Amino acid sequence: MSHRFATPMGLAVCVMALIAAVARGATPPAQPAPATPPADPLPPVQVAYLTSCGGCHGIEGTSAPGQVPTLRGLAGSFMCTRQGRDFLVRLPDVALAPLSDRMLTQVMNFVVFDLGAPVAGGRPARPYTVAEVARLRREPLTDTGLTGYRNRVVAGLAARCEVPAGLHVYAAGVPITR
Amino acid sequence: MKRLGVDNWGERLTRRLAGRLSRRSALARLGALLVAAPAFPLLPVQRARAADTNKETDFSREAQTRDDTACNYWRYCGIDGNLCSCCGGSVHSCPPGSQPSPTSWIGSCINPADERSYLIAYRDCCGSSICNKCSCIGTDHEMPMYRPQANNHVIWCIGTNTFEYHCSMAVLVGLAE
Amino acid sequence: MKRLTGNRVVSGLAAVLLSGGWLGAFAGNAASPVLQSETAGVTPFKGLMPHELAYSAMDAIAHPGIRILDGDTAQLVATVFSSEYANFAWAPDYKTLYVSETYWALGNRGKREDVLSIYGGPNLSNQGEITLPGRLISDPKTHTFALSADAHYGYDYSFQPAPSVSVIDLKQRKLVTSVEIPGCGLVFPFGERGFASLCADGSLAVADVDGRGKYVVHRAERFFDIMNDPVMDESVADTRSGLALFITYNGWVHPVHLADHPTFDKPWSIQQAAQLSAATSQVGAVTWRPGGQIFAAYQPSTARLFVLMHEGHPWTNEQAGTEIWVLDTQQHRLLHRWEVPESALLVAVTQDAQPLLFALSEDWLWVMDPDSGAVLRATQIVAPGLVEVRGE
Repeated sequence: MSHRFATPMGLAVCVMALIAAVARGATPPAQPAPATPPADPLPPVQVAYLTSCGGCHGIEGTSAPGQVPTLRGLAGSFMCTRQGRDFLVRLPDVALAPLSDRMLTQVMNFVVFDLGAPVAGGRPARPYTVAEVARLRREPLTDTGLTGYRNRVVAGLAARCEVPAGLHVYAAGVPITR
Repeated sequence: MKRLGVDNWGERLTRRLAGRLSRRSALARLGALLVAAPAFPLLPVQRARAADTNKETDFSREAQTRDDTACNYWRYCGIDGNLCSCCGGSVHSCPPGSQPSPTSWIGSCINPADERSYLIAYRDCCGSSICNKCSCIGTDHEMPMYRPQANNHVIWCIGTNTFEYHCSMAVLVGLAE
Repeated sequence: MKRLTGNRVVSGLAAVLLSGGWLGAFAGNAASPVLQSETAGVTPFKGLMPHELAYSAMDAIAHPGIRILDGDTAQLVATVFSSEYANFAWAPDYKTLYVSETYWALGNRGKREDVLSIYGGPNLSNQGEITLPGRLISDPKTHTFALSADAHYGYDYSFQPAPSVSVIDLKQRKLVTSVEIPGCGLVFPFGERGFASLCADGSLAVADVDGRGKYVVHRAERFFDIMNDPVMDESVADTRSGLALFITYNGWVHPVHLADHPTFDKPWSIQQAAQLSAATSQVGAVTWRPGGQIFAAYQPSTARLFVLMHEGHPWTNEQAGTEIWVLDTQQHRLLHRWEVPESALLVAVTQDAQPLLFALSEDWLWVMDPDSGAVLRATQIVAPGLVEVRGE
């Protein structure tokens, strides 16, 4: 799906329907429909997100509860502090992704502002700039224990902003399977 | 997986102008692209790929679009395992007795019918004894295990309550380009 | 079993009792109240012998377990139970076997147990297990579980899916720590307590772990192009010397001396060693390429590399090999090209002075002479997964 969701709630509703449909195995056809091109190509930023991140983090930003950090509805919270904002780009799989600085910037803004909305912080958060991403990705957190580091970052977020409870565990998403 | 210059606006524009325009209002789209497309230098990796832009891969050259129980069905360029289409399911549904995994790897395959690149989620069905039918291995742009985003050998049942591999789907996520 | 007549039984018993060997009467056949002609026992396990091949199952199609086959006779020597998706490694005496495996209480569901099971003793019996905090569930890959050269430590690659390596003290039989290796995977041990992992950006991560679990991880430089020509998972490494031969899909060999600060020798091309042009990733570029499941084997004593090769286009790194190429890794030249009877997915070579070469498909194991390519014997096999031979 390539359309933007108006509200996080709308997002959640859509995903719940999707989840329910998958869980019930909603009427799969015996043969697949002949391949017809979808109405619109996915925007390149979404293609980049899907191929680099979407397999584990989920096409819609939710995935394996407790095992893969949920992005949808939560990633925006990281914008509350400078440390949180930097953290998202310094993650090794982000910083070292085979994407140009420009595309990586677009992907991160998609993750934070589209998938990860609402965005925390008193004032509207500024999108990442290319210069900022280029600088941050030169210092990937490759030599650090990420679990502990993330916990500290999240503690910092919670101290400054109201953040969803789901941030404190990896995922607040609804399990897709039993 | 192939990322056919998707992060190169200039390159896409050139290809559209070269004659393969979509059915949609081509002029309107071109206009939007011209406004939005800044010029920027390609990284060496992407430069190499841009020079090699065929709308085909070795897999797609041999692929077909009719029979999804055959290994050379166009969506299976990166599948590894048993085809759910042979196991009581379909390319996008798990057979009864198994459950889809929320994690998978997402690759892209070229549909030889329209020579366009589509994102395919190789989502496994987990929980039931192995189907053991229609075993296929597509390794088009498959990456090793240490780059799991594009690897077939991780058992992609993470997020279910089981790791019994039953079969693999090839779910169409969308048109990549 | 034959029964002895009464007199002989009585006199036998009397002899034992009079000799004070009453307790001893139950210790051996001869003093049993029923004089059995023979009793059942267990064939002693002498350790993995130089011409033996230990192999596991590829997937659920083949019965899980680790089997040992004698290359000289093509006969089964021993079998050890394991779960699906198991990995295994031998202690340096080749008498103790460590099996990294996972079980669920109810088969396909229920409480999950990740363990390192230990087999050894005179009969290769189970000697308990060490609990692991988790591990990677994947098709069998050699470098997801390995031991330090002296088998003090075991290293098990885990993927939850945040990648980490469980470091286990095998002497104390306990987990030392989990080393996070973000963006990297697989384990190549070196030295007393170090290991390297390959990284998704084309670099190497190097870890040093002390006995109490304190560790340092740092990245060495990028040395390969991940998106166009990745290093294959089943590249070969010699733990004792720390030499890794990281082989790419296109057949470039990167010799790396693993250490806290690894050194990278100039890469060489398998095709160029055979007087062909180096392979490329261009669509349609058909040439001889390495491929298979366990596609390469290395013999440190002779510095020879044995590689399964097939003719194919790019991105065919899992295609079965129709030939085994024997390469001199010091002079970078091809020594021999041996045809494989059908096609092979796995290759192994023994490390003794009269070596055997093993080639395996999904159905057959061929035992070959590495110096002449002659097929000495063959036996049927079912979907082999991993293979190990006795080290030097």
